[in-house]
Amino acid sequence: MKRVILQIKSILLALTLAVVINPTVIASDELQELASLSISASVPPYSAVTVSTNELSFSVLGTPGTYTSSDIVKLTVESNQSAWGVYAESSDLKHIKQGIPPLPADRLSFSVDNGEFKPLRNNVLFLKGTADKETRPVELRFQLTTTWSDTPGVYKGRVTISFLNNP
Amino acid sequence: MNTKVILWVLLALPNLVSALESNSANVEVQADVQSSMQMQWHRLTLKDESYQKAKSKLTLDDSWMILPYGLYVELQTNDKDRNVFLHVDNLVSTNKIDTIHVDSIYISHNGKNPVPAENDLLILNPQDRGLLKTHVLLFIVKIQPYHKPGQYLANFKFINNTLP
Repeated sequence: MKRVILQIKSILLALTLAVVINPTVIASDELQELASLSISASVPPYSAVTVSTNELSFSVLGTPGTYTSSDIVKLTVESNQSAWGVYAESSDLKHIKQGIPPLPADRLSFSVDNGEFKPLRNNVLFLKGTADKETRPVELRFQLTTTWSDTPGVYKGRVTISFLNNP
Repeated sequence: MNTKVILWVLLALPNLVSALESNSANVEVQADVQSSMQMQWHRLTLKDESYQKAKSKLTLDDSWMILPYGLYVELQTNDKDRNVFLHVDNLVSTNKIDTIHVDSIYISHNGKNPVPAENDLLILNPQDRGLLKTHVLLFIVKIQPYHKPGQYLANFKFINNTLP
């Protein structure tokens, strides 16, 4: 038994010396592929639209006309889509009392970064972008036009800002 | 245990969905429209065309005297609960001694037959909401023997009355 162990030790020592002395193992500067690992990364489409405020108010205190809201909506769009667009649309502004005609949606208009005011008709495209361009927040200002036919009172509605890929 | 998990998923699902749907944003809009009225008026003289036009529609005998001035009124409101009246006071002589009582004064409204001025004249009523109303008002005195000759001053008031 002792003899067998001695033989095994001898073999291991011989192998160790062979590895240490072998120049091909020590001096090789070539990289050898020992193993490969496949990595698959899935980047999902991403887009987000955020607004600085969820409320917009108008105080029509004087004679009918065009009133600008003091609220400024700061809009931020983030997306990794190749091309995208942002649309805005408004509902009619309904009087809180029933039976009183609403203020039609197109009485609302808006401007982007102090540009020209445009009526908020059905889904107005007002911002475009591409993935290779960094986006910055834009400022939206809103105006409401009233007429003598509009009954006094409180009206409520909603502006929806939507993101669309490849507009 | 399984029932609890299913219940949790059902309760959490709507929240998860709304959290993922961030590609649109809503902005609530509120507009507070106040009651409003605009009114412009000026005095008409004999030279004004609208005075002459209204006067030409009237056929009055000598017992009536049309005052040589009138009123042109233009008014508009968005409020269905708002009424506007014209109120006429007694004519008072310039020396403040004599008066012509309002029951002798009549108003012709846009050339129509004279109506007693002792009742306030409705010049804007709820049916007129949103409309621009224009009025040419002439003042006519039913001459009475006791009226003293002289210069008289007229005092008119526009009364704005909001219905409850």
